[in-house]
Amino acid sequence: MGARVIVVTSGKGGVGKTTSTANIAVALAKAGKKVVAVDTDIGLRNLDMVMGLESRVVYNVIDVIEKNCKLNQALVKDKRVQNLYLLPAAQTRTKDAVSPEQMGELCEQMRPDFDFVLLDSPAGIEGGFKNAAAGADEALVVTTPDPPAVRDADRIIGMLESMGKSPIRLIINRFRIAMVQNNEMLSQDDILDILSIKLVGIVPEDVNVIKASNFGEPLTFTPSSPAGQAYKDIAARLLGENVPLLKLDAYKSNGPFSAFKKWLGFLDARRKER
Amino acid sequence: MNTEYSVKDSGLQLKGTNFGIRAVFPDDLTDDALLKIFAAVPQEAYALPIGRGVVLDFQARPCSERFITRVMREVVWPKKLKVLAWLTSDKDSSKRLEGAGFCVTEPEPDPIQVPARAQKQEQAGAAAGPNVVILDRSLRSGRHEEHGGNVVLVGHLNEGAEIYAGGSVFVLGRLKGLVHAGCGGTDGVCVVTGSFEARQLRVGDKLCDQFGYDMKWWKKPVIITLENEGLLFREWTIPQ
Repeated sequence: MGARVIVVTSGKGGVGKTTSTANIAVALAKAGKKVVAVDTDIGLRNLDMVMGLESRVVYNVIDVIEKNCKLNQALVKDKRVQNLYLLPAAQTRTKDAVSPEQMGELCEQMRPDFDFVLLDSPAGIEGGFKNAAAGADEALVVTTPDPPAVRDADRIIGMLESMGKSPIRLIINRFRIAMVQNNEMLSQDDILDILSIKLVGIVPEDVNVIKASNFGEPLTFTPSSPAGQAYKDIAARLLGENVPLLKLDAYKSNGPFSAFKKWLGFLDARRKER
Repeated sequence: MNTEYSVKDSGLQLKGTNFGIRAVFPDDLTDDALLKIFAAVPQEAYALPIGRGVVLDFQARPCSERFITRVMREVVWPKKLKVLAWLTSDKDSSKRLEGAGFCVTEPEPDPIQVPARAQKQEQAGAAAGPNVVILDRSLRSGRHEEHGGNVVLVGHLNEGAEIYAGGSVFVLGRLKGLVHAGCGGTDGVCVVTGSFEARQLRVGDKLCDQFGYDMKWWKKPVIITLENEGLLFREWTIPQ
């Protein structure tokens, strides 16, 4: 059987691929699965920092591919949770240093020893993305609720479909319910209508994400924050659990007039009934 | 003997066609007069339309070997004309020209300038049946479709996707991407969509990029045609 190999990708940069990879990897490991998070962003390594493991990196993915070391030597074990490993990217090389075939072979090499292999893809649609996607069976597409990110996600989904990846699931990141309610941001329905793939989770905008990245402590270690809980739920859904989506209304701003507005809405509804 | 020959009054006609220039020579001139008039036509006259070359139409004039040789020596070679065909309704002359290796039939007109890939699809489609391509899925960003005929998209054309068609384009879902109908300058084509949400549209040789949320037809089902050098929007009433 072996591991499920999932590429985490987006097309556009800065939408939260690395954050999502780190948090889902931690959540899956905490759920008892053996997980390796692979940074495939050769030359722009940062998954190690988000996971708080940068000080322990010795070898990297290119060293394994070029057989400068064994896979076990390059894997960085996370001491905070059982069964979580990181395979870091090389910082001093470029994406040309690896081919899709080599990445495919690397994934096959890891498959027997793990339950999940999460591949953190670089932004873009060129070689870096193709390398990351080459060895994957499934895909998680991360987007933010803004038109440029959605358009790029659409492009990436088309490419993943043509590569035969399935299932392709969607994560909507940095969602702000208040802005959606004010028609200032694309809604969940708008995005799903355009992208037409299965939604696996919505992660609300949360300042704790920035703090977590700065401290190298993924939120899912202590999922008390909205984003942490959302990532934990995504991991549960990947494991086949039926977890309802977060009620994002709970995170919208409750201004001083919100109760008054609700009361006006109630009156308006009563008037329509008559 | 009158040696003054006027191109204007000679009856020589130079017609622009989509393969180049067609030079039609009057029957009633002598060989000498015709050659002098032909030689007097300024070189620029042949360069006006963008085309492949010149067709020489001698109508019913008998063309002797000497006359053909003189045409070559006195006009064709000095002016470096690319002669596509030598036409004459005189059968003996036509045989003589054909025997000398010249083309004596009308050249094939150039097809509409549609993209090369679309031409291939058009040729393939002609053998298979009606010149329509039906795409039964939405086109995602980055997808590019070309066809020489009509295109029917049963789905959405997402932002960043493109359709180039020699004929009309029907997008039954949302039109957010780029459509160019009548690609190559064809008139009489239309764009039909279930919901118009595009920022730019091209029909024939017209391009319009003034669309936005505030336009009357935004997110409405519309039929767009080219009328009086402008794009005309009409509501598409979908039959129930």
